[in-house]
Amino acid sequence: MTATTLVKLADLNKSYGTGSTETKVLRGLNLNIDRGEFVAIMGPSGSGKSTLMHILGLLDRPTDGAYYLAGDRVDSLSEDALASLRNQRMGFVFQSFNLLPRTSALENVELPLIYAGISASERRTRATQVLERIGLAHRIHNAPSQLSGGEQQRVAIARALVCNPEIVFADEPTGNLDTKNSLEIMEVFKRLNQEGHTVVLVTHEDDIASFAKRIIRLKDGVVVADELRGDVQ
Amino acid sequence: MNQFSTLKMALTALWINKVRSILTLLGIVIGISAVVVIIASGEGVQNFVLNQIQSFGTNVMTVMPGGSDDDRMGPPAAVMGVTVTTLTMDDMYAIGDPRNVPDVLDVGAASAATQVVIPGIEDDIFVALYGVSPSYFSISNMDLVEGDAFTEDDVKEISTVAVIGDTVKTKLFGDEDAVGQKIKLGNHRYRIVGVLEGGTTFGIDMGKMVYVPVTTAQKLLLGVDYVSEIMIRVTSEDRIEAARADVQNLLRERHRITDSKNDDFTIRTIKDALATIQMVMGALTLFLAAIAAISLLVGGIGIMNIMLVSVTERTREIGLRKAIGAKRKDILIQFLLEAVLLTGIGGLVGFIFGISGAALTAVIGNWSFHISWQAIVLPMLMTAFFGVVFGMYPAVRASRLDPIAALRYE
Repeated sequence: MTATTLVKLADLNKSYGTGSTETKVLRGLNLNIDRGEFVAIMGPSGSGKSTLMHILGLLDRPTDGAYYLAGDRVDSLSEDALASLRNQRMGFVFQSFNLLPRTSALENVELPLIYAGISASERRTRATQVLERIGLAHRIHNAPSQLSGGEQQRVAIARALVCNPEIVFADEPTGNLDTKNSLEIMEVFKRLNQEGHTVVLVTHEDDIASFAKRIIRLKDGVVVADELRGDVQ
Repeated sequence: MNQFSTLKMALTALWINKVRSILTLLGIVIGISAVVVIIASGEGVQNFVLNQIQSFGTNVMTVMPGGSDDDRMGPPAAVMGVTVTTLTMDDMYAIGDPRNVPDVLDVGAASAATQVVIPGIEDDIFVALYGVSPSYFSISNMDLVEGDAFTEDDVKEISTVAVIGDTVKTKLFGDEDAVGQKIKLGNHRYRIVGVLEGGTTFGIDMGKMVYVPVTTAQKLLLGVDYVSEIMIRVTSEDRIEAARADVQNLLRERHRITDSKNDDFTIRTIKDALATIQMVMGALTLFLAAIAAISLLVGGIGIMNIMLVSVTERTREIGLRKAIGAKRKDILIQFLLEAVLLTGIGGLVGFIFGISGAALTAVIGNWSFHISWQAIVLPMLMTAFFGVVFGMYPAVRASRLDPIAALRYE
């Protein structure tokens, strides 16, 4: 393990159910992700890519095997400890945005800071800064219903970034967007990566995955290809 | 996560679903206001009744004809509509004799009351006619505004004299002096010797009473030779039990009763009456409060129901909150706080309604408005209790949701 290794999975298995109904979703996975990488996880449905992302994002636990985050083993931590790690070191962007309805963009972005125990005035400052950075300074007081899909996903990205995470997970972030907005959102991720954020993207679309510097392909719970791309768009 | 943020979050969630929140509140509002009105009014009525009774004085007791099953609480036969004829004027004089009952200060007798129509009162108001001995007025704390009460001599001589209430006086004579005037009761004309102060006791207009000597009522108006009540004032409140025993023994001797089970009279002290009324009113208030508490329970179940709906509706929100760092405790507190806020606000509004309702009832019922600490603390405790109890289950369910399952929930 080098100093730049952020995520390390060792012999990781995930299965659901027991006995005859046991379904193995991930089989003996070994994986390293370094700081500053932009990784796309691809695969057909049922390949285990979402499960992998949930485990990487500490939303789910492996059945066995080890998960090291920046050198520390995290797969057997308590639920509260995992919540803290998600809050402090990870950011999440989902396909369906998952913004709180009837709540302004600013307040949506402030949400992770509330759970981090940050004071109201600092929350406001930091959330405003991130929204400005993402190009939504003029929209901070709008509720999600007053925003376009692309804008909503930008708010979600701002929310993922506001705690200054080491790694950002994006689960099909363009799945609910049209082509133009999809490309814009991917440009945002690309820029974040250039600014030093580690980004892990789950997608089944090749042109979306082509924004990443590394593509990991899964099939039936096994890595079938892991390629570094030189010619990033 | 700081407490103010949680509070703001919970308030926001309630505000977003205004109509639903208000409708849910209503159950609690109704429940709490019912509890408060019942407790506060119950106390008001009780105090009102107790004050009225105590205005007679606590060193007074009454002998009524007929025995009662129960030692102190059961009603005497006379109250149950049975005419018992064993209590006489001679019994009264015997009780009044200090050689028999040393603690007696004053004794008076009253015949049965009857209703008469007095010519000259056009609107036919019913006037209650009561035959009493003169000391009845002093024992009952009744004051005369004009003239004097009739005398013991009037009682002995069966005089046709009367003391009238001020309502009767005003109806018959207006502003003129009534003393010395005549009034026709039954077949005889009575000379008015005094006018009593009016006022109401237990809702009865005392001004509509006409009193004549007890013997006059017996012989000329009722045609009987028994009395319906003997009132006794003893030297002091702490001598009342001793006097009761003396009167009991005296009457048993006079009526040749050997077994107390065969008593043909019942002695009631003001204390007995107070105890009975307190017991009855207490039980009644408790019963009504229990019914109100059931409505509160229904309101509480409404809160639980709405909170469960809310948790289901906001499954994705809960998943998201967990994903971005909310701990189990954070979610639990958020939803519990929403439920407690709902019941708390409902409780507060209900309390205000309840107090207003109780104040209004006091004005209508003409008793003094009084709120005891029970009427304040009990509904508060109930509200807090219901908020936590009915909010807990939905909140625990919310806090235990698996973030992935919650995020996938459609």
